[in-house]
Amino acid sequence: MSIDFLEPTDFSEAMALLSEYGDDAKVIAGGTSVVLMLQQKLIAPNVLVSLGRIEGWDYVRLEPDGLHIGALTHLRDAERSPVLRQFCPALAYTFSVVGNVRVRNQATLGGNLSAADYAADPPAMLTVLGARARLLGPGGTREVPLSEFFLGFYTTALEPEEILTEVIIPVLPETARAAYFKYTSLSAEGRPCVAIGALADFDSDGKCKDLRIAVGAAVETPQRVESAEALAYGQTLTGELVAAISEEYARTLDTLSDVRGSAWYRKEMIRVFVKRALEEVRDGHR
Amino acid sequence: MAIGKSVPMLDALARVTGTLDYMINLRLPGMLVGKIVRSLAPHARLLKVDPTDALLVPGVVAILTGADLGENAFYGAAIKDQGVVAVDRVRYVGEPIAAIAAESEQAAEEAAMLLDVEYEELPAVFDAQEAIQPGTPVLHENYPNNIFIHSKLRHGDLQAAFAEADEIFEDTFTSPLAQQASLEPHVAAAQWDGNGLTMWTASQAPYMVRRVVAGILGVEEKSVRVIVPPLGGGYGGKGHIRIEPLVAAMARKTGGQPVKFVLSRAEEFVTVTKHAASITLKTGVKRDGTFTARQVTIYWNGGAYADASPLLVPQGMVRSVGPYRIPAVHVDSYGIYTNLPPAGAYRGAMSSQTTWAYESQMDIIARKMGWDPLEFRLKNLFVSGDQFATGEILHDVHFVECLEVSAKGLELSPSPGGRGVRGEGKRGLGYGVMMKSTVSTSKSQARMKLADDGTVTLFTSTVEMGQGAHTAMAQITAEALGLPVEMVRVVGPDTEVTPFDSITSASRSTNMMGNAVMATGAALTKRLIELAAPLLETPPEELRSENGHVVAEEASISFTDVLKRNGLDSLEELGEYATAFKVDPETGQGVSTPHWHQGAGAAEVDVDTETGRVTVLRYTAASFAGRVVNPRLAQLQNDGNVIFGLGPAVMEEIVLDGGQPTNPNLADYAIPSIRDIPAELVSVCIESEQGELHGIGEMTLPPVAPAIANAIEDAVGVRIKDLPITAEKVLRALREKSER
Amino acid sequence: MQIKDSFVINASQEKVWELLFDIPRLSKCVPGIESVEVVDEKTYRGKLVVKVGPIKSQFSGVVTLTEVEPPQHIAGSVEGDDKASASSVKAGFSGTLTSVAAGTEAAFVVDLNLRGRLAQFGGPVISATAKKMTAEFAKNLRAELEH
Repeated sequence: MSIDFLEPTDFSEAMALLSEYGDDAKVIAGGTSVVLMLQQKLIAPNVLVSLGRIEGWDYVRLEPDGLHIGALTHLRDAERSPVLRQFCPALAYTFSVVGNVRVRNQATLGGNLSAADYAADPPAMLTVLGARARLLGPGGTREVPLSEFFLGFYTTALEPEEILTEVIIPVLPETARAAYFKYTSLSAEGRPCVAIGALADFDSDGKCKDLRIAVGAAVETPQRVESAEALAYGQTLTGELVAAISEEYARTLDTLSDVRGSAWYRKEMIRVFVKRALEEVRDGHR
Repeated sequence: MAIGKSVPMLDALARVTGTLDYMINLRLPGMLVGKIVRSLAPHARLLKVDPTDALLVPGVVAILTGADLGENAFYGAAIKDQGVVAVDRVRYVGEPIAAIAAESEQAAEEAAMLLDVEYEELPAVFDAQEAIQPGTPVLHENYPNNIFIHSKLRHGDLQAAFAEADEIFEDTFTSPLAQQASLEPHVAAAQWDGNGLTMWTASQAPYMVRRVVAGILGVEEKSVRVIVPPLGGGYGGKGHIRIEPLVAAMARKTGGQPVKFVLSRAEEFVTVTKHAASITLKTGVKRDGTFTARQVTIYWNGGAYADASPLLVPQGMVRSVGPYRIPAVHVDSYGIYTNLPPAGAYRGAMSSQTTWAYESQMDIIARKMGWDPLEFRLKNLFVSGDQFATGEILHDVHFVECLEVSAKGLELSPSPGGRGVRGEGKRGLGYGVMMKSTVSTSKSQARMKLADDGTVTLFTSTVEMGQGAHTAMAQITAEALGLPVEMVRVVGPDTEVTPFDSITSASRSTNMMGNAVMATGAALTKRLIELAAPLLETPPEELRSENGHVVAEEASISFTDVLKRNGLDSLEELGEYATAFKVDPETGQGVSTPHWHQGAGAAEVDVDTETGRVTVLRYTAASFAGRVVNPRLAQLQNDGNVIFGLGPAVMEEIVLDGGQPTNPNLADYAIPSIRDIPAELVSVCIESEQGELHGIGEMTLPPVAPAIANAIEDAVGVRIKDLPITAEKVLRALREKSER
Repeated sequence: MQIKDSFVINASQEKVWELLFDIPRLSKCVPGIESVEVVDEKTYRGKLVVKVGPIKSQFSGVVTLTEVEPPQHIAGSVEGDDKASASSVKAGFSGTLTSVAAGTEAAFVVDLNLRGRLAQFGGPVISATAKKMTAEFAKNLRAELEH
């Protein structure tokens, strides 16, 4: 194949190339998404703009405003980062269940999010943690909350010449509890049938101060159901309340059908795993 | 003794370090890129395939279409209905309609886009039982009801036997369309030299390829040379003719430039599949726990071309009865045309689908009758001396032992904790036993050459596809000659230098080629002894071979010296082993196999009743292995079979939409991963003292699916009859059960 | 696979029907249309671009009308292919206009057969894409008619 493989050494060079080649170019980082699309001949760019030589953007740093993860961080490094594990063990776990270790050694966080594969793991968890994406474009940098970043199947808020450079996760309250559930219905290394990210905070009486649950993989983009989350505020998470919240999620969300499960099955699994996620954050096993 | 040693696989290091020269690495001077253009319609008249514009693309050297093909253009194991490329009709989505040879992949792609193709679509049919109904589209005029083969087995008076039964059970079991999914796809290259052809191909049957390609090209077989490098898996998918006729025809069309075709993963799914099948078992039992009768009806979905199915459907018939004493048995095994890609052999050919049926029904019967599933099986399993439904008397069968060993394996160690899956998990145990024939008529030849440096080269057309066949043959050679294994080199397949072998499949090689190697070794040893006798001044009867020497009571002489002192730089022998058994085509009576393949398994599962997800916690597999050549490799084969078998059991299925596969990739077509392997997996090879060399490549695979289904019924009381056993199916069944 | 959808336009049924057969105006409303040519009163040839994230396909095809009952019902078939992605589409469609309080309801059913590489996308992506295109088409129709 005569595709030109260009290797800029910094982001502005990369953006200049994207601007020059327009539709003929495709950004590639680890390649775990892009190469599959190339092999399946779903895309046919003339130019690949590789971010592989850009240095200084693979990091995990705790700053006063939260955890900053460089977009070129490999998922395997994120998974193993002591800083990240300290900050949010459930997030480290989320990265650890993506594909398999060979995939994680190649895949980058920026690439994973930019691909916007509905059946991916990080999006649901990062959405529930209130993460923001930093996008660099010809006009400068802007931040987009992840809840507004995923627009549809394989579609994000990235403008044609923008590149995702960093993900910022706001500081979590000391008492916050997080959990991630990846349910695979076929192979254990497969993509999820249902993905649930949960974040909860309780006061000293065990009453819920904050609850966020995002569902992924069963829906087009990660979804929270705020009316269901609101049921928890100021309440103890009794078995009944847990059932009511999970029922509300199952009832509200418009699920999709694919080889990993029908729309009906996904609703059932949303009910089961929202329940399990609530039990997990309530009982704090992690 | 080289046999019985766990010699490491000869090419293990090369495989693991990525230095093995697979077919895909082949580079020849001036080699062109081959690309196949495929039908988008499942059934259509091909009105036009015009390459005029496509030929104008720079870098395109030649384009092959139906117009280039003469009368030799059709092939098939028994029914020659498949064109090298489609000529005037396409019968499945993905059928080749043209082939392009170009200097670059890009040029080939551009040419493919410019090919002017016109279809006139015809109604299509995808379901086998629908295809045989009147009024459905006919795929091949010679077969107006779309049945291209009907194999029959008739043993005993079925009606009388059913009349004697106290209970009759009738159940239907289905297996979906699936794919062999070797990591290495189909790859082939060829070069035409004006008179003949050299072909390199990832195939399990080099001599079959040679014969068919020669026929396609209209040349003598000896003008075609077929070379097979080590394969990255075959599993039956490379076991018959695949892309070779197309590649050969393309190679001739380029006028002499070599061309290589590498199929993409998506193309694999339209090149060969595993037969979808629907099997109905009607079985009569008596209250005393014995069988009276069994009637089997099998609808095999053969796809658009007969391909290898005329060989496989009769085998499927024999393999559908089960390893139990049943006085009267009738089987009707139908091979049916549909507008799907041709189906072929899949590890254990036909046995997965058939074992799924009969082993599932065993538990259905046991539970209804109030019998223990294990006891019911042990009471009825064949023992040596019993007569099978083909009339043949069974010898060297150890089904009881296979099952007992498997069941014991689950008793011996405690059940591990559930694997991190919360919710209400319920545990259950299930068993499966399988009985399978191997190829009844086949031949293997081997050639051995002893050099004057003491090394031996074994020339064999057995294909190394990662199963360790060459390692086993090296060990057998070493044992036959009385040499250390390190002195043996294995060469082949290359039809120019390695002699005839029917095929590497059906787990026949260790037995058939192994016997040929033993015969060759015996012949070579005999000659060495004859040559050594005068030198040792001892009659040949008093000599033997040991450790590279011909040995007498008080003296010995090395092979090397035997040769040198006889003025020979090498010594060569050829040996052969063949079987020719058959059954009557109308009754299925006769001898269907030189020996029986026997395997069993026991599974412990955990069923998460909230999700339906089934986790196999522990699995013990056992197979009869005759005389094991390489214990470590045999164990890996057995283990590998179980892991492979998890796929069709719980996750594998080609999902079709209008005859088009919608999941032709390994993200959406799930195959077992390392993390799907049971926490505890044990496999045992059972040997017998007089055991002959036995195949081991398939035996512990077919019992996996029914063992799991049986364990699920044990755990939660639901019965799944349609593969794969997905979590969703189990959950739906659980819901239905609680609603009743 | 089958796709069913409907939308309401605040305009009279006659006006909506008229627009459906006014090819120059209609083609401005169909998202992704790159060209359209009237072959005869029942046949149209055109090029349609469909984008799903980074995956862009361009279908060249023919629309054939089999049933035309003004001003309420239209049915026909579409056949097209995208050589670049070795894909083709075959669809049968049927559409109905009904007068409702808020104007006109347009409802349609499409039996879609997508073949070739793009078929790997599967149901959810194809139906979501169809939904988006319908929503955009409705929006454009409204812009044309509701002023």
